[in-house]
Amino acid sequence: MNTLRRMRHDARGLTGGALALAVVLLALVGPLVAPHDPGAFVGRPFQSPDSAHPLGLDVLGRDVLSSLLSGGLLFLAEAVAATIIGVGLGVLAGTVLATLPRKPADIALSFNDALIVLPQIIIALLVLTRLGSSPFTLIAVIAFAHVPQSARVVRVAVQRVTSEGYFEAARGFGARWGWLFWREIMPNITGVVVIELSIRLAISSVVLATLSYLGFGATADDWGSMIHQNQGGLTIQPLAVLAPVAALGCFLVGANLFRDGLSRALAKGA
Amino acid sequence: MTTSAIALRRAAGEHPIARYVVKRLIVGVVMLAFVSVAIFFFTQALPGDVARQVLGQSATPDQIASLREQLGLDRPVVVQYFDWVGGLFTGELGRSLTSGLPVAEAIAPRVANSAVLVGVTVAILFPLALAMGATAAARPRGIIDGIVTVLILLVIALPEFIIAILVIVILATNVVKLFPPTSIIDSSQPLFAQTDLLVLPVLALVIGGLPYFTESIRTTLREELMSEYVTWARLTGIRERRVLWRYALPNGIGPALQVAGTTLVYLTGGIVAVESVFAFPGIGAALTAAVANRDLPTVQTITMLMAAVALIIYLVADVCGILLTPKLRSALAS
Amino acid sequence: MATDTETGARALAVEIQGLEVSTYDGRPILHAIDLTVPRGQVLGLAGETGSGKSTLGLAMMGHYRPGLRRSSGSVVVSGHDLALLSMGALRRLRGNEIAYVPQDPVMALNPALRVREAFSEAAGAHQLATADADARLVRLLQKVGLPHDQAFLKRYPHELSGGQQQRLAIAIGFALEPSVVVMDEPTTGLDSPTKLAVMALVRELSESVGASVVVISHDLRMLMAFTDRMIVMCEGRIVDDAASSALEREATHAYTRRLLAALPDPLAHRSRRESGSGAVAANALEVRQLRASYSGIEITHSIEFDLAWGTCLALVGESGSGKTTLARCVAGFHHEFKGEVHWNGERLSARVGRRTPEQLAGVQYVSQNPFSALNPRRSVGASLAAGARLSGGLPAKAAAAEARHMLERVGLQTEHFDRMPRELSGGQRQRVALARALLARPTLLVCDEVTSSLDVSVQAEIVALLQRLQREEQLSMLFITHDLALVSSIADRVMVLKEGSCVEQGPVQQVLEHPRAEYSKRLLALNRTIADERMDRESAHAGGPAAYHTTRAVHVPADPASGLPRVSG
Repeated sequence: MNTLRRMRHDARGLTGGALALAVVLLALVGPLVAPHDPGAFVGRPFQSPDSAHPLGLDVLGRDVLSSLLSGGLLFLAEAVAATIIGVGLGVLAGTVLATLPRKPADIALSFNDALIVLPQIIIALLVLTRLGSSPFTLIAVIAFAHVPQSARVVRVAVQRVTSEGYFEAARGFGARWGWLFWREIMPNITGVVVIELSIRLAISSVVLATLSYLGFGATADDWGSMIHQNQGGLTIQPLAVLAPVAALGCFLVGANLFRDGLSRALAKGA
Repeated sequence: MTTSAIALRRAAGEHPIARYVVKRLIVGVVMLAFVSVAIFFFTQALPGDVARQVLGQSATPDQIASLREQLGLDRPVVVQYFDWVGGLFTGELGRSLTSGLPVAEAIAPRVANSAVLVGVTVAILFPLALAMGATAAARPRGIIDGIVTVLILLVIALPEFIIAILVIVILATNVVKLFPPTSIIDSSQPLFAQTDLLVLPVLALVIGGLPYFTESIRTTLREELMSEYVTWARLTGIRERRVLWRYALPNGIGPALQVAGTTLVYLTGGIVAVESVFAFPGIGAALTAAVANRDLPTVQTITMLMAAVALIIYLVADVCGILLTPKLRSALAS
Repeated sequence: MATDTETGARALAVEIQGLEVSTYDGRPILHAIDLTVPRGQVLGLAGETGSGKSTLGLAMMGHYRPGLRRSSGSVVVSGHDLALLSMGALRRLRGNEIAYVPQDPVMALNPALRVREAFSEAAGAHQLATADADARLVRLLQKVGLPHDQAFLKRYPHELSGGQQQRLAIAIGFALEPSVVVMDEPTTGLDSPTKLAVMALVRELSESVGASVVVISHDLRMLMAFTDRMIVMCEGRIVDDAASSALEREATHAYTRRLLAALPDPLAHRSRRESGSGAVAANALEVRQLRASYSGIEITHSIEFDLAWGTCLALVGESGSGKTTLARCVAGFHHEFKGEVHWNGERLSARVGRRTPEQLAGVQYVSQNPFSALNPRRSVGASLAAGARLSGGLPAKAAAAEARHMLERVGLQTEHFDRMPRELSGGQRQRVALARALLARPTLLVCDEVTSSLDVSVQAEIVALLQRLQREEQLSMLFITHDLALVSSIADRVMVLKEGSCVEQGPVQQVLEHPRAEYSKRLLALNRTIADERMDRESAHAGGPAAYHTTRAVHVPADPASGLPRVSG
């Protein structure tokens, strides 16, 4: 709460937050206000904008505005779910890594690092080869790819706490694991976890959008796939590409500006 | 493997750096083994009928039987895994399920294409990022510093495929048409003769890699410039340029190498999207196609190759960082 | 007239008039400082953290930390008004005419430069030819007592010991024979013998080059021994200015008097009460054959001691002697050890997690760093109440009441209850940490360098509090310190540790007055050498009042202990 209050005068962070929030609202209410069925063929392929279709038609003659309004909800929901699950497990894994005795911790850490070797998009592609794309597999694979990365960050933060005098004092008073985790560790790594959540949300969105663009989205009509399908008509009907590019861009850039403001506010509070 | 590891260790003898490299190589091999298990698990060992999944519902029993035969799916999973690992060492990587060609033969030219793409990108990106990062650190609130800030705030958030699309919009279609929007390469000619096809993919990758790299260099050097030894050097009357070259840079080189390594590995992921946008016939586009077609041997080979390359990059970055940092060097020796 | 000002300028190394330094938003850091330093004088700049002494020292270099600026007044060094110089002219002056020796050479020596390079960088910045620089480096290294063979010249800073790094930094500071050298806390972090040798060296260099030296330090005792004149600073003002030998008698300002009073006198013994309770187990703590190690490297070697009920045992040693490791073994925070720790007759598990609630409550540990001792996300009251809940299983309300009570016991007010740790000073935090330990109703308190991170005047308060608590709560105490001066005022018995081995233990009076082990003698002699040094200076500079000798010199041994680097006056 204090952190948000400190962000009050941060124009850049607030603009970013507003931008990202606008896109989220668009995705939330979009399906309700879409003028056409996003799957319906309503005219000539790559037809230019007119009063009935302000953003024109796409490669198959569907209304671009309706696709744009309907194509964000599932995508954002997947990103949020994957982020929360991934970072949540990362916090647990990181805490375990930080508190294990040294030798087992070393082994666990090198296993953890082996999982980081491949970029997340490659891990996602690898896993989807057999499992195929569904909202469930997408959330699972992206969450899974976050865990080792978040665990690394959280491990460092937890180690800092466990070496502090107050943590030792609590142990000296016989505090149990639940107490140590919830009352000593968690309150002191909140900042790290919040920043990690915001970074991971951006990465989830990037990986999901890229997967959609490559043809591995859960549906064939979200923003990433729109860009892919309509890329051939860039010279004739650029809006069919630029509209979803703008939606994704505003969300990602807005979220990044907000995260930047948040880190600065947290740093000031510390 | 173990005998060669022992031989290596013996060859390395007493030299601490060599001993460290050998130790890191062994760790790298262990990590690669972890990765190979994961790759094999997700491609071949997941429960379910692999052959039917690959061929689809319309496949005839004969087709399914022959695919089973080809992949050796009837044998125990552990045997299949060691067969596959054995193949990695002997170069027998199986045949592509789509083209029927041996995997090695099918992807070799694509590996070469991607290597050229990444090589050209690195040749532009690294010096550019170093120069921009150093300038931004030395002149806070200057023009370059402003550009780095914009990069880190706006561009870093965008996925590579959107950067690539925007590059096409601006340079190949809607605004100006300087370059072709796709990179369909004539395989009868060397890639270097078709430079116009390389420009846009390279540009997209450079823009994609620039924010993280420049920002890391800027932060590292700025910390160096605020260090106590730099303050003392200034209080001893040492010139500012000398402070940068003799004090800040030598101590920032280790972290900078780590950043360079991470950026290189990032590029191996970045080529997947960028190659697809430009239809560039590289290993990234090949991976996408293989995943779409459930071409298991090709997916296995390409992901293993990428993991091995990433591990080598991290190893080289670490070793160079240690060689160039006196303190780490003697930490190894003791 | 002209000749007058010229001789004036030549006689004065530093001349500061009406110097005010403030932050950019106008908060003053230094208030109207007037100060002149004659050529060749060794000036001590004393004061506690935040008194502005370092800011004043850096102002003599024409340097202000980021965020600070000179708002008025002038700084003239060797006849140059620093504010009127161009950046280039100031650069040429620095290192050449005015040199700086940084506080922490570990941080201030460029880790990428070898000894020879580090020196030639400084020399080269002022156009000293390489051959001349090499010759001068060898001469200076000899003078500061460092090796000067090729192998040494090729070493990197991390291949030198802390004392060697400090000597190298000093050599670089004196490289161009400057007329003023500003030294920021030159002895912090050095162990006592090195500290003495370094300060003796500084005096010698100052005399051979004819440089004025400004030594910034919080260590009053060291400054009184080694400087000609002392300035005491408090809240950005000079509150006292006196000949070092006369400061103790002449100090006028209340603040200086308080600082001086807070200096523990190593030879004034605490009047001991007879501690003869002992009904339960014979001893509160028994340690047997304790061999602690880090990653397989043994740190302490077969340590044995007993601590009787209601008494205080001081573990004394320099950094690296293993005393903190020993304390952490007893508290259960360091479990890589062999041997036995018995409390109240029960053998304690090495790991704190395996000790019984009674054992945990019975042995409480207070660490040296009050800044990490309290959870920054909890108010003081909540931290204490949490302790009460954990140890006594009290309901929230009773725990809070207990916490309030304990807050008063350690001399804090109820108004501190709702404060966050960051709003408290170091001393206040240490009191809260003590209060929390006491909530467990311990019978044994392990105090690990509890005063080492505090300013001198606060140290005295904490020691007094510990004495009172020990008396009132019938506590047994294991008191770990590197400061021998504290021992006599609090401990009944002393154990002296060196490199992980016990070199001597016994009643405090016996060890302090008739040390048997060579090492104890050396440690003790250090305190006396400082007293010696003061007397030497005193007789040299002020004629030396004999009365002073007799009060201070009672215990000077005829042959001042072996092995000590002999201090040249």
